[in-house]
Amino acid sequence: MDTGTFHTLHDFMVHSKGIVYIIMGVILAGSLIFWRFLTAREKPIRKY
Amino acid sequence: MSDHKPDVSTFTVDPKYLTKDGITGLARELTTKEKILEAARLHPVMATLLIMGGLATILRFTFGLGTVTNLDDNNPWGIWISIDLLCGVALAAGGFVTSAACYIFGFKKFHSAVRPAILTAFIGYALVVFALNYDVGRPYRLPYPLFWSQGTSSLLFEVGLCVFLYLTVLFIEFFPAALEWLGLKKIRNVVHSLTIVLTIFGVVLSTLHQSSLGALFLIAPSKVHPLWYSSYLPVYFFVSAICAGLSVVIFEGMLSHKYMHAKMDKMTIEEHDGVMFGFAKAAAFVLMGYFFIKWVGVAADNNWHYLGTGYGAWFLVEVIGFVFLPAVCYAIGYREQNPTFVKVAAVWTILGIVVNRLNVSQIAFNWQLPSDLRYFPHFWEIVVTAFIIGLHVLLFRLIANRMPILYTHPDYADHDEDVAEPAHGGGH
Repeated sequence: MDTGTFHTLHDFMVHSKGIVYIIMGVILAGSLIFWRFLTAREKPIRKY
Repeated sequence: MSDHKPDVSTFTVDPKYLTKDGITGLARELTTKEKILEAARLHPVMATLLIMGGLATILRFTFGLGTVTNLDDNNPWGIWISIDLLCGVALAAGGFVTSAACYIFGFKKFHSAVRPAILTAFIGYALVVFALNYDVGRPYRLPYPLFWSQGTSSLLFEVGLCVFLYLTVLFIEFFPAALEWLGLKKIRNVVHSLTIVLTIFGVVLSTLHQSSLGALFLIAPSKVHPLWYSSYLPVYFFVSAICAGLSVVIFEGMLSHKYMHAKMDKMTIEEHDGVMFGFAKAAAFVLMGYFFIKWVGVAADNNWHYLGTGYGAWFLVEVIGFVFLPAVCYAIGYREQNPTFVKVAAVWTILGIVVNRLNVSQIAFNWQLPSDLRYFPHFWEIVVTAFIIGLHVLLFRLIANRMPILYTHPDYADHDEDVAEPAHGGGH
């Protein structure tokens, strides 16, 4: 498939959904990294 | 809890109602006439805004929209919708965000922020409805879409119904403060007992209409620029409204501490930093989430090629300059416990929300029209918008200076202990 040329709706969906899934993976990893950055200096809460 | 009891003596006579007697030189309380004059005293800027606003109102309701607006068939919605309504509703989200955090998620340490947030939201929504009258005209017909001719297939009907119901909810949530001020204990206790139900109702209604305001633009795929048009618009509007609400509570707390510090009790002052940093942490994470999902929208519609255009550059300014960078600023502020970073991020985020709503409803709307057909607000439209913002500030000060908004009323300090007790554990 040529980059940026879609002959069918299926082509388009495979392409765009594929990119979305990759971005979702980046979001999951990015959220964890950002959370670690955000809370790195918090004092641990003692539960005992 | 005794540590948090307000100093009752500070509420007997407001210091601003004390003056020096000309004859004896001793402090005395102002007379009723002097109190009225004190209350009516306005800042020159505010007085000018009110006079200009009054003039604009007369022009609008005597000579019609054409005299005071640049609206036309291509641009039927101007800044009265973009700023007064879309930004107004988003920035009033602090009410449901704060009350949900305190009463539903159990963050009792945010309790002192609930009343100011509810008041801000109540005045905000009331002024949204007030401002809507300038746009639609015939204020006496405002109830028609709800009670006479319901357009149940329209998103605007859903928004109107939710705003009507939520304004009622906010009024009831605010009402205990007024009843405490009036000394009506029995009614106050009845209304206060409805808090949880009202909070849940408020969250449901806010979720519905905040997202529906975004959904309104789904009917115009050919008018909204593809970078801003997305089937996720309702989600974007809702998530960004949460960021706006959190930021407004921080911003409002910042201003209250600067200009109304004398009105605050010990508990409100002690809890202030906790509220600011707690909300900053939430805002940082939600804002970063919003930044991420904006890219999902671009990817889902495969709009990457638009990023190389002028509109693409502006989109990047919005998403990076007004979403990503404020999120990082919030995160650094929370991580380093630096109030300056948090305050800057709050103002930055509020500006970002205004930019976003203006983009969706004005700048990226009708983007294919030639420039001579594009809309730019009329002088009187800007005056009315400034007038509405001025009214908000004026009403907040007027109410917060008189009613127990920034402090717990001494008669109810013990009564509210169950909700006012700061939470231990649970983190921010």
